[in-house]
Amino acid sequence: MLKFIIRRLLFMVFIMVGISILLFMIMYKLPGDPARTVAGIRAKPEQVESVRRQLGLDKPLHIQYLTYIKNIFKGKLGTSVLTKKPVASQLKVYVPASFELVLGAMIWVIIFGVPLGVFSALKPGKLMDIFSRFITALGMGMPIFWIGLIAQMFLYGKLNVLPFGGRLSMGLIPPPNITGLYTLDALIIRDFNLFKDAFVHLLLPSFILALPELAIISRLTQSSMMEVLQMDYIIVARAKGLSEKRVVWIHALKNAISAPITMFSMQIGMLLGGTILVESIFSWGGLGYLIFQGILIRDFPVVMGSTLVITFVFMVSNLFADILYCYLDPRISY
Amino acid sequence: MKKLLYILVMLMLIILFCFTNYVFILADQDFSNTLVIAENEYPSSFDPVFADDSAVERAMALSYEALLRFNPSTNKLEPWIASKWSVSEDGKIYTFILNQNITFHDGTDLTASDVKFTFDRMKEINQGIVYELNALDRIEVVDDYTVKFYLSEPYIPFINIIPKMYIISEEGVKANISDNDFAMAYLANHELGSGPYVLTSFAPEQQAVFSKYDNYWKGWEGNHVEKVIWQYIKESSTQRLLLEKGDVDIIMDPSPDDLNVLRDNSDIKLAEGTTFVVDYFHLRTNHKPLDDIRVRKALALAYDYDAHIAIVLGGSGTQAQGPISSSMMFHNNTLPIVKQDMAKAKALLAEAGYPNGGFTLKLAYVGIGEQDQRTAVMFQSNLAELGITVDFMANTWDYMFDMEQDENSEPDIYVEHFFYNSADPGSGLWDLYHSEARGIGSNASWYQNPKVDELLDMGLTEMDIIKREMYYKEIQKLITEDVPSICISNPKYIIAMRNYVHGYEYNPSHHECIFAYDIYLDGKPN
Repeated sequence: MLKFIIRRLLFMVFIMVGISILLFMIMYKLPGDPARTVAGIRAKPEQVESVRRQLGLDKPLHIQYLTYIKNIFKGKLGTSVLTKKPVASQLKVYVPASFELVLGAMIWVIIFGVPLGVFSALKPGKLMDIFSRFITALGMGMPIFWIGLIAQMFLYGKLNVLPFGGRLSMGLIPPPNITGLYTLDALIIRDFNLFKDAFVHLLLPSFILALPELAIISRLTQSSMMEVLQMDYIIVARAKGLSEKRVVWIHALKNAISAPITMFSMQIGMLLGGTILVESIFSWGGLGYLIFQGILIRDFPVVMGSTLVITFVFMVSNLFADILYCYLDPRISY
Repeated sequence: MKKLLYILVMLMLIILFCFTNYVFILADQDFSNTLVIAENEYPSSFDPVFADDSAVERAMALSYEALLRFNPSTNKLEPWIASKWSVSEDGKIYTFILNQNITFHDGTDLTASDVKFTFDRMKEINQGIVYELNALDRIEVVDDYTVKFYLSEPYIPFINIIPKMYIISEEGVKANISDNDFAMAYLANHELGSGPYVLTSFAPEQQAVFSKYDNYWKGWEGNHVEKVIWQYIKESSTQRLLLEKGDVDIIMDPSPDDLNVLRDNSDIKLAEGTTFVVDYFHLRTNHKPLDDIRVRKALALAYDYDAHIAIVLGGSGTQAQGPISSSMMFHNNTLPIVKQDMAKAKALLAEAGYPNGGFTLKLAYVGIGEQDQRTAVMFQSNLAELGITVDFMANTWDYMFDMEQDENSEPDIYVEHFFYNSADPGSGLWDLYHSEARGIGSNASWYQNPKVDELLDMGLTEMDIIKREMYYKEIQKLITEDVPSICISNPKYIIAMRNYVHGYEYNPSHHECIFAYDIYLDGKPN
């Protein structure tokens, strides 16, 4: 097992290098001139050239790449061409913001997605199954920005029970950046009002983000549960007189959960990179929008840094899923 | 099963508890003298070097001050940090006398040395707004409160860019430099100005909170808002919702589609003003068949300007009369206003040898904005009636700019908006239509006319305002005759606010800025 983990970690290094080269090539080939973007639309050519030199963009591509990699080992991810701030310090703010949102979405998925799948598998065609299908139709069929806007209009505009968006109420000062997760940081400094405010702000955006995943996971859990429930060992378990609760939640679910876990671990990376619409509707200020804006204005260090972080999270979550398989299915060994 | 139900009930209870608390938290804060503004773009920096970016200048208008300011009503310059100013007879030396009781937010006095430092720093950084300072040779500190600017040659528009040059604290910058970065990293989320409001909290893409600066040199007597919150909200529909509910006082980005609904709301008023912005189709005069003036004229006659104002601008704008905005200095109001006339357009095309059109034009626009997409589609359908095919090229703005500067680039037409920096059209017109601006400026039409060049050069150095007016009116006439661009419209700037917001006046020279110190809230509910 340890060997497997070490092998995978080494493999991750190669993937990161590959991704970074690919990204470098793509950014290099993209139309437009980053030096022009920094210098401003009406800058004179000599000003643009001076910026190009300052940013090191006048050097050959491989030199630029090697300099970038060298700096990564020094803990530097470059300086944002837009804000002039070190990318690493920007990511310290944006990554936790997105991570908090994704974490919230994951909790929604685990709390609702898995039980929903199990219940609908137990009684197909009954209320829970119909509800599960409704959630699937909603999550998969409706565009996320539309549901987000409607939910915002209804819950904030009409009922006034949830805030319109943002991570905190207007005028509230964010907690000091310890983990970057407002809810957790507020708890650490024991400001419970701030925690509640941050928590309430998290509810709707994380639910909207979770909806498509909720749909996938619940349907996947349902189908694999239905398959497992037909197996002989379940009949044996029932024949042995085990309680139905134990049969379903311990014996059946443990075997049925591998497929949803694979999907779930893959979705974490997707969620992290795909938060842009939710972030945009709910003024969240996370990684998705940072990358989107970075691409638009060719803020190369920001795009590069953010993408590497997402790649890393994606790979770690996959590794985590593989380790979890071993625990869930002892037949699997690496 | 019961356990699960129990957990779910508990979860719902927690959520409900938080809901009530949400209302409680909002109610707990006193917003009665706080101006809350919703805006879709947050400032990338609080560094005055980048004040050419309107999102940055919005923050400048609260925390910084410049030597002079444009009066919103008259568009004329008025004192700000400088109490007086004068220009030498040869137009090469500008002298500014500063007010003596101004302090920066870091507690240091604002003196002539800070002014010199601000401009020297801009030149050293060599980014952002510095392109306006090409004529500036050096600055001399005469005494603590007198400063002289020496130009290498007379450049009349120079004085008009002074209001965009916000003065920064020399000591503040020096104390926050890291890695020779001129304190730019520090200024990404701090300010070092002397304006009426201090930046107290900034969360990018979320909110910026400004509180009143107690030692502000103009004092706090009279009606002024004490706190300003910028809430960054990308969706215009969300902004509208917040305004309608009274949770924000001003929204900066009402969608043209929402304007009528907002107008009908008795709690809300709209503030409008004519901008210095002009919308154009720049026509590549070095491309066939656009090198033929008759084809260019036919294209200008084919566009449906009324539909553009109604559909693209949502009714908030006027048709352009010539290449500069009607609210700018030296505007030539005797120029003809082109109306759509397909018969005439067809006749001109036939005269040029294209009786049934039969050619294809490539049209480039910046692909993010809905307005440009609508404009492109409308032009495409208008030109289809003449038998001309239009292919689209949607781009990022920097790529589009690159293409505009490339003599051999593909597009024949560029959809563009030009922001004139001040009421004086001198530097803007030079940038758009001088033959030397091809490849380096904004001359996307690749236009050249020696007479226009000569007049544009003379306009930049002529001290006599009557003569300048004559030059610029002639320039507009010549450009209108040559049709290097189809001048479409002058959009209006519209923001929406609650009725209790008073004192706001649109200032086209400081486009999108809200000078909160001039604003007061009369009867805002807490």
